[in-house]
Amino acid sequence: MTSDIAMQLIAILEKTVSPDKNELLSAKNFLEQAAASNLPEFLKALSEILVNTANSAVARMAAGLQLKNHLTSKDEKVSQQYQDRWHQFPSEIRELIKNNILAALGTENTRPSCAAQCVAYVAVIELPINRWPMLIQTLVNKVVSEGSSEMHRESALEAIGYICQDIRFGVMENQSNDVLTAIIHGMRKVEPSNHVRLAATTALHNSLEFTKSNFEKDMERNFIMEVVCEATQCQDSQICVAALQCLVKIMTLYYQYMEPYMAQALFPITLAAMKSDNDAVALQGIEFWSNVCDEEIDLAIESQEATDQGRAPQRVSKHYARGALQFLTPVLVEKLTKQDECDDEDTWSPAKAASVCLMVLATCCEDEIVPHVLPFIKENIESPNWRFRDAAVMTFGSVLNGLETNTLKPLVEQAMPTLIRLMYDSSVIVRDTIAWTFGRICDIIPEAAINETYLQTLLECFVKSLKSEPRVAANVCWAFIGLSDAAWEAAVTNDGETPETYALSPYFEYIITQLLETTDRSDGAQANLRCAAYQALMDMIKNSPLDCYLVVQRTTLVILERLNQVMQMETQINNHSDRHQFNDLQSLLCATLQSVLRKVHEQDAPQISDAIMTALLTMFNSSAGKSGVVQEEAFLAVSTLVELLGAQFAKYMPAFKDFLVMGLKNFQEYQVCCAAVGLTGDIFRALKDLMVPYSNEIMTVLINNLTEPTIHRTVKPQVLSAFGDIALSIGNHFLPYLSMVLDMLRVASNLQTDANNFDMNEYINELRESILEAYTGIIQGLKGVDQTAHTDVMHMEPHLMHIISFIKRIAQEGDVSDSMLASAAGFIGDLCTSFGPRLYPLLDDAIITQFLAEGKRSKAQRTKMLCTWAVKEIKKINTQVITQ
Amino acid sequence: MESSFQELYKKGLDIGEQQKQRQKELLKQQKLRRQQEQDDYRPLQNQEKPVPRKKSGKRSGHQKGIPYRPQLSEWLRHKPDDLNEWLLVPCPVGKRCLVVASKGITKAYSKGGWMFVNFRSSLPGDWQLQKGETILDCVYVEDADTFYVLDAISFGLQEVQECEASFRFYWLRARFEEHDYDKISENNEKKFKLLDHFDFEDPSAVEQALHKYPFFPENKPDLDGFLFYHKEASYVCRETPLVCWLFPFMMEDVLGLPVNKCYKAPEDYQPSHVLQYMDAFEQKLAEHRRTLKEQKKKVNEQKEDPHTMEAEEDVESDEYDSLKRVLDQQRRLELGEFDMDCAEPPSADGC
Repeated sequence: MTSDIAMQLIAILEKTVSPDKNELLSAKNFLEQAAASNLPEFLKALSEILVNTANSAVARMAAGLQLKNHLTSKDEKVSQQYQDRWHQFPSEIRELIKNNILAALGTENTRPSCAAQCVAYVAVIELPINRWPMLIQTLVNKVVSEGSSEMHRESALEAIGYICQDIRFGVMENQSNDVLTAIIHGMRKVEPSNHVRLAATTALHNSLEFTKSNFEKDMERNFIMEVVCEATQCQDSQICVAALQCLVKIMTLYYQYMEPYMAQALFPITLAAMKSDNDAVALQGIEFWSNVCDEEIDLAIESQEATDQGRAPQRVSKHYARGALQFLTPVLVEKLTKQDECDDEDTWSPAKAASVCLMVLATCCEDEIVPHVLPFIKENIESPNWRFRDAAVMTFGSVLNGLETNTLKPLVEQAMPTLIRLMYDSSVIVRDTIAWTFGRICDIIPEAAINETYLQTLLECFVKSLKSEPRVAANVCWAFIGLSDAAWEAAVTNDGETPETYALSPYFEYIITQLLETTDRSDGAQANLRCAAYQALMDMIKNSPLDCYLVVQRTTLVILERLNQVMQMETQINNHSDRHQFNDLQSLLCATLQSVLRKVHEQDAPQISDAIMTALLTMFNSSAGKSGVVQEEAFLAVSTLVELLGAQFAKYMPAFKDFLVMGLKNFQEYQVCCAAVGLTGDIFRALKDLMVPYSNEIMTVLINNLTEPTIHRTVKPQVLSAFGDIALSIGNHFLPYLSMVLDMLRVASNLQTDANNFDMNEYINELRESILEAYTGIIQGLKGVDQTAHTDVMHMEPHLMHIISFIKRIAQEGDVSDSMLASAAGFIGDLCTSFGPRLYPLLDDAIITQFLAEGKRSKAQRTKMLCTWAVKEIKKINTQVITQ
Repeated sequence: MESSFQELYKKGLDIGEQQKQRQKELLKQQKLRRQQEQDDYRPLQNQEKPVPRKKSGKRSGHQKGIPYRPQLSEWLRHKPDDLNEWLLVPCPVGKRCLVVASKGITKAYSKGGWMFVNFRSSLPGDWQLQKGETILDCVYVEDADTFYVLDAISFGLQEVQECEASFRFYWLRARFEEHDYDKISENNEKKFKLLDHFDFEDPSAVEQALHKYPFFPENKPDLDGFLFYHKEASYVCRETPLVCWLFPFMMEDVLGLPVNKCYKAPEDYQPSHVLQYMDAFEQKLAEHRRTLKEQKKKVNEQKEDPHTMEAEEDVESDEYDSLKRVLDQQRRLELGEFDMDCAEPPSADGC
């Protein structure tokens, strides 16, 4: 590159920090063009500018930045593209760039080092394919060599840090020794430069995942721990924080090796950190113990599972949290009193971290925590200082989940009068915390809340608080959900009937009215209040007993009215945020509509169904109807309407059909598509052969969906199940599609499970069940309802062998769910009643016999019943064989 | 500074979680409905107690079959003192069933509660009035593809279960006069014929009925026997002493009412020993059931499975089939009535 061009480029790069917008823009354009015209040369040029110490710092930094931005991106897909592109470069240019950026390390006099980033992002590409073998060694040498300058050590460590952070697993492991050597070297107390120590500590944090082999060796581990613990005592708070971060991560990754260090080092260090006035340090101390609790909670679960299975657990808890409990709690509750007056949702503070830590401590230590927190709560819950009141309530609310019911219930009941009083507290922060606490109480120990003694007072204060600040009101809505669930549980009896009445009946109407008012609040967008209020409304309605039916009926009309009102507002929408709120509201209303429709009595349905369907059709037609979220909820609402009306829904089909098909075609928004497919199944089942005129259009869309390569996989099982519904409903009108569908089923049933991929296996099981449901619907539809099967079943005959071997494959793979067993058994029974003795040879198989025998012993009613029936049917056709 | 614990701070209502739960629940309900539909098409026995029908009409997603069973008669062992309080219903040979027309479809359920046919009919609840539902107690004659209507639990919007038998019969007659359910049409795929009833307060009408032979035109279907309904009895879904039964050849001996000579008694019948005949009949019935059960057991024992417990439910469902095949004409006439008169059917609650 000629020096002229180089100078031009340098000038441009310097302009990238210009305050002049025009200069900035022209610089940006130039650079973009240069990159577009010859990227390899351009990057080479940049690397040369970077490495040349004669250039200005600005130019070098800008060059480094530009270079980096062409090597990596926040978007993974784009990053991958950049990497692929790098591979296309001529190899001399690649080598040149690599040499330049490596040489640039340590020569910059600005922080942080741009060269380090460039080295790292090239390393991430080159190291996995072993195309930069000298790199790590070079970097390590830069750190450990005698006489290496501070900048060299620092930038090399930075580069190591970035590499460890971004490189994929499996590349660095066999160089962990070298890397660790450099890192530890840089972290030592005797290292004069704090910048170097910080870079080294950060690099350690990033390297912890792949230095596993080093942690397994006692001596090496001891050494690493010593250096890290030492670093936590550093005066420089940044290093201290970084070292503590390392301890946190080490604790999570290498819990089982920590015993030698806990009492002497880790405990005192982290406790002291928690007490620190430096927020960043305190946060790390608290984070450490939260992580310990998390780990020990998991270990307790593992231990329980192991006991259940009659074996020894692989790892055990050392109960560090229990041991430290009495020392931790005083520090934590004290931190709670250091709340921010102006609470910004996004900032994290020791006060907030402490409350979460108390929560996990309670889960981990259970009732043991009570004596350590109760005195503090009692002492401060009525303190004149709002901070202490808030801290006391926060403590109380945080530990609820860990306690045994027998411990918790009396505690809450005793505290009830005080807690209710606090809802009227002068401080909004206290009111927020107590509302949240009530939400927790109603979630965790609702029996204490629906206690008759306080219920009325409690409800009164809840209702008043619905008018309070949004976040307080939102928590109250949450509390109503807990209350409604608990009241329902207490009232419902075993046979699944709707109870006559329940604890909230006297207040039901009032609560519903207040919740409806809350949903109307103009500040409903804050703290997700509107959503929470509608959720509470839905829950109250879902759990309503018979004596509240009138109110439910009236609410149906209110919702309908609102739906219509909202749609009229459409003309007033001006901007994105308005539209967003508008769509949200519509989907909430549809969701609420679903819950009321599920409670409406059949005889009342005809009165409202016209109005409801009209509203829904208008919505589909409107622009909100283009929003995926709204469509999904609207389809679900139509589903509940179909369930209610049965075949009476038929009169709406002509107007609705087009919207249904639109939903079915929308395979890009797969949740909408799924809802539409599910609805299609419901409609066919309800309307049966009334759907014949629409079958062709619908089947065509569904079949197309299955052949669409980009379709989301969750749609597939739904479509297959729907085929079953359709086939069963339209009988021999399904014949035109039969062979195509049977082929699709055959292909789908050939999908194999993978022992290692849990996620995939779950999906495959879902798919298999839907295949069985499809086959069942088809055979039942072909067979007809008479005693003797219709001859149409013969169309399935060529597929019988494959189907039976499919079932055998399911049986053999073991771990079959009750519902899969039931579906398979039912289908086998249907096959028997359709084909008779001819089928017997195929079913006379030990695998099938054992499969069904297992099912007969199932505790699930339906499974047992269907397996028993299937066995009987098989014997029947066997007997027929014998007697023939 | 980020922490993985940040989202736990004052974690309240998880809206996303609520929505997921709601949608999961909806999917579950859909699946249950599909399963129920498919199970309806299978001749399964109801093993669990059927969920009683809620007065509110709210559907539960878990009902199997229907919660109703036909009203079953007892032998009329003695002439009632208040014979005038009774109605006589001549009953044809056929399959006893309940026919339910609801939500646009009509389904017929056997005594055990499983659906054996569904079709379209013009009964209210199916084609005509979509509101309400019709539940009829019938005898189905396969050869004629006709349902002979004995009684009703509800008809359209009118629930008659709690009403007296005389009202129920009056109501049915009025409905059947208004609309011709006997005709096959696009909307009505099977015939429904209302059976005649006769009031014992009108002896000449009764006498005429008893002397009419064949009772049904061309003796199709055969007359099986006579049912006696107490005028004031409401409909119950189980055996009741307020509905009684006699074979034609017993009428004279029990009630002193002669019948047409063409109604022949079987050979082992002795006029003076009616009660013994009834008892012996019950015994034969029970034995026949046991035999069927044992036959099944033998078949099962030939297979290795020791866990097979052939339920009594199997017996009932096979009865009709196996009897038709195995028994001769006479026997069938006799025993065919135990389709109507079983002493041990599964009880139906909550009616």
